[in-house]
Amino acid sequence: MKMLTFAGAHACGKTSVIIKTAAILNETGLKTGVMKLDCIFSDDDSLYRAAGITNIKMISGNVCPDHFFAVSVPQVFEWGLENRLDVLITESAGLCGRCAPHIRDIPAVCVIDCLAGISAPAKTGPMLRYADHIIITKADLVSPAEREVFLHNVRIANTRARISLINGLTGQGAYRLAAYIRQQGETEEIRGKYLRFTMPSAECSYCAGQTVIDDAPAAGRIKYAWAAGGGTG
Amino acid sequence: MRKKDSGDRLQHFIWKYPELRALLEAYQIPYVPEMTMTEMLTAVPDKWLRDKGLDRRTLVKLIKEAAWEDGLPGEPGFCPAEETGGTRQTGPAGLSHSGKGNDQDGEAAPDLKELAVREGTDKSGNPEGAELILKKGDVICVTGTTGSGKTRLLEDIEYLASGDTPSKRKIYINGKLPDQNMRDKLENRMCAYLAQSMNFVMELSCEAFIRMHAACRGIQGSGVLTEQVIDCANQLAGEAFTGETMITQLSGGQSRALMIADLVYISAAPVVLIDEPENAGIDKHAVIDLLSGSGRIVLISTHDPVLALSCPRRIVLKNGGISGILDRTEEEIELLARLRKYDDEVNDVRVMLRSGGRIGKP
Ligand SMILES: Nc1nc2c(ncn2[C@@H]2O[C@H](COP(=O)(O)OP(=O)(O)OP(=O)(O)O)[C@@H](O)[C@H]2O)c(=O)[nH]1
Ligand SMILES: [Mg+2]
Repeated sequence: MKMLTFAGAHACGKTSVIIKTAAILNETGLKTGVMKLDCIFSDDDSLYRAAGITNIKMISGNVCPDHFFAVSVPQVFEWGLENRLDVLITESAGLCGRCAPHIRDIPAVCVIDCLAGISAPAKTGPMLRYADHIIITKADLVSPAEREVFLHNVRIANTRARISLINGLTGQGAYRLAAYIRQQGETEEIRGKYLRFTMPSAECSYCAGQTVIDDAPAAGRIKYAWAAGGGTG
Repeated sequence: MRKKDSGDRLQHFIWKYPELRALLEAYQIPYVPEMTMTEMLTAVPDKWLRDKGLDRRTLVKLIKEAAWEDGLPGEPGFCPAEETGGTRQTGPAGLSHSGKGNDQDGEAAPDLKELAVREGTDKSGNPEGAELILKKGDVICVTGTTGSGKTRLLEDIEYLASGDTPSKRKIYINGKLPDQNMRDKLENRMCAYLAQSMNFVMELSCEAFIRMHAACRGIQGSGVLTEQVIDCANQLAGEAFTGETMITQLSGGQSRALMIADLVYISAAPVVLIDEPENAGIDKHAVIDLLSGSGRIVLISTHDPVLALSCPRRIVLKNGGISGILDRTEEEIELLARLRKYDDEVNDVRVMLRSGGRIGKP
């Protein structure tokens, strides 16, 4: 089974791109399935169902979504095998942007849309910086010049990745992504693989449900913006 | 401690590679110019890097790419709203048709002399009626009913199809089918695509916008270039705007005009694809004249008869395939002259009505 991680901010066009690409893959006999992870709510499962794509939805709720992803992904992998998928795609939204669901040796895709602003590529962080393939969507809505500047900034944030422009509405350009997926090797086992980027260190009384805002230090390992000697620098 | 050679020091590299400074600034890496590269790399704490979403290996790789690796010329820093000091001087600013600008990978767009579309089929799998060969400087129109495959053709060209799209078309560049390596390089920079739904989304004045685009292409954005672009746009659209006008405040016609002027003066893409431009209220004849003289290959998909006849050749699409490529006849040129008169008359009336005029007594 080939596996890919898809990440990108909310509403950037991940589902649209996956649906268009899966249609091409399915046509060539590669059964594609999707695991969707979101924090609070998602109706992507109905979109995938309508498109006839095998999928499973997970909501992380009260748990940090990136931790949730890391602990759930082995079971998701098993689910893919049980469903005899040829291609397993995990879709997770931007979440806080500090981490990335990308795993070493598993092709990583980042989706970013042109409407996110020209500094978005610099701000997106590991999700984009550690991706192998970056998909730019909604280029149909901005001027060619803005598109060129955006592309340039994406290129600087990640000099290594392949970049494709895909229109999520028409599927224009999805052929390139489908071809890229077809070239990828099989992932035999997910246990023992490493995340491409560390998760943040935070373990404090807020993690355990504290909600009150107070000067009194929260117990645990947490840094303070104005703490003596510490700070964000 | 070893005595430092001035050539080892960061300040030397920063002077030599402006991209390096842009990189250090973009990620706010603390450094002292007198440090050596290694000292700088060891001094920056892990925690600092993690806060920026980096690790040491990635930073080293980025620095290498910015400064040293052969065959990977450096890139300017993130394009801010104003020209960066760190971009490379690329000779006199101005028309960049030669593709001399600092392109996204530091490589100029290829010198495109000929583009051919071959081996395609229509929706029923029959071979296309004609092979399309386009030469530098050609302006050609794409016609056909809705659903006849106009957008598919533009898309095949944009993505340098190699038999891997439903049309099975192959795009030849300068007589050769590009290999994967070349396709990866050309991808995203061969074509400038102007679709109907496009709009400006940045909050910038026209002048800042043009400067930003020029800076990202590595052209030192001179005031002269900005003026040229705005003048040109004003000739295409009826209502004049200035460098101070915000791009988001431009009318539909003005935005279109600015996009086209920017394509001609600043963009390096050797192919320009325009999807149905007629609704925008810009001067069609002026657009065709401008594009014809721009040394590009231009394809315009349109339903507008005046625009279609303004191009010396037109591609006819049927059932997803090219059914014919027609040269404009003498009679069509005569007809065009008549149609242009009507077109001009409609324009005059539009201007007159807009300024509060009326015809005849109430
Ligand atoms: N114009 C335009 N709209 C697009 C494009 N891609 C996606 N959209 C629209 O953007 C909206 C969001 O797309 P989705 O695919 O649901 O985005 P997503 O990233 O999966 O969103 P979440 O899963 O909720 O995080 C939809 O209304 C799409 O139709 C594109 O290339 N052009
Ligand atoms: Mg989605």
